[in-house]
Amino acid sequence: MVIMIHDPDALVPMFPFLKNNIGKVERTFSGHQHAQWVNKIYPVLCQLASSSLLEIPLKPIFNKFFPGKADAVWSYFSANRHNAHIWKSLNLTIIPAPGGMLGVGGGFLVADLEDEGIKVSKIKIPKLKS
Amino acid sequence: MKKAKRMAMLSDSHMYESQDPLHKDLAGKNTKGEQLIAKSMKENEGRFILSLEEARGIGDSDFLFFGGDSVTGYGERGLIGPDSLDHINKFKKLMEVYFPGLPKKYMAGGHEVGYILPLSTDPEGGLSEKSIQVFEQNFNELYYSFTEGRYKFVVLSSDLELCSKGTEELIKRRKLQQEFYKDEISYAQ
Repeated sequence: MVIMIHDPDALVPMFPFLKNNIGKVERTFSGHQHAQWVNKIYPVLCQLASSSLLEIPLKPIFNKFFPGKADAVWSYFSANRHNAHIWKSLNLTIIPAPGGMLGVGGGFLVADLEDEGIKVSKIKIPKLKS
Repeated sequence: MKKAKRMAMLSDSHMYESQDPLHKDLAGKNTKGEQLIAKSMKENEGRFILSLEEARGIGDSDFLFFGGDSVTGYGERGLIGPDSLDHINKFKKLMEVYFPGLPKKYMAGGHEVGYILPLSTDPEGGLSEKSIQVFEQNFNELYYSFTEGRYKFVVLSSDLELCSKGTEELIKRRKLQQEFYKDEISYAQ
């Protein structure tokens, strides 16, 4: 069984059911996060958002990029610190955006559906000529 | 020996500036975040074409899977804007130019059916019956399953699963999707 779902956050409300069928879920693929590295640093972002000490210097920096949005983003990450554990147990792979996130980690995936398992390769794309 | 099926998976091309309040004339706006998004949107079609060229170059793909957020859509409202159909057609044409006749499966992202996220600003944003209808008319069903080799794929709408408030129809749709995946997974071997 392979689950395909755009935003991996949706796996969280599904998890009470999925955990009882975990042996049936061989892999999960999502988009949304634009690069595998975003998924990898997600637990770190959750930790940062849960630290009241780091909140003071980091929030103004974030607000510079997205004015007035820091509070919403902070509460999102601090409330979702268990997501990464759920994703790991469902063997989640992010299908990258062509440009990745902030220009890093972009490309696409090729999956060979072999009898022994799904062999996934990430393919980088050449840099866009300006 | 039987050849394994090959699936090329692309996602999040986020092409074309939309006329919605969030994405219109971004380059003329002032915040660094908006300028970053504007620059990225201008380059996204070129990047997507590069991906399609590379995927075609690798060859041997038996089908394509697209993971959602193909075009910007009408921002947080999904593909219901005045320019949405034009954007959908441009996206699908690109897929067909590079992979003519190859089976293609699509998954809905927030930019297809509408979304509400921590950075959301549009009070009218989010999933709607209309955006779902546009997706199903132009791509495929919102949630479905298919089998390739020994693998059963269950394709779902994350925005439907995450939809906690909405019309009675949307809540009913969410319940139906939940019943669907529970059945598909429970009865899987």
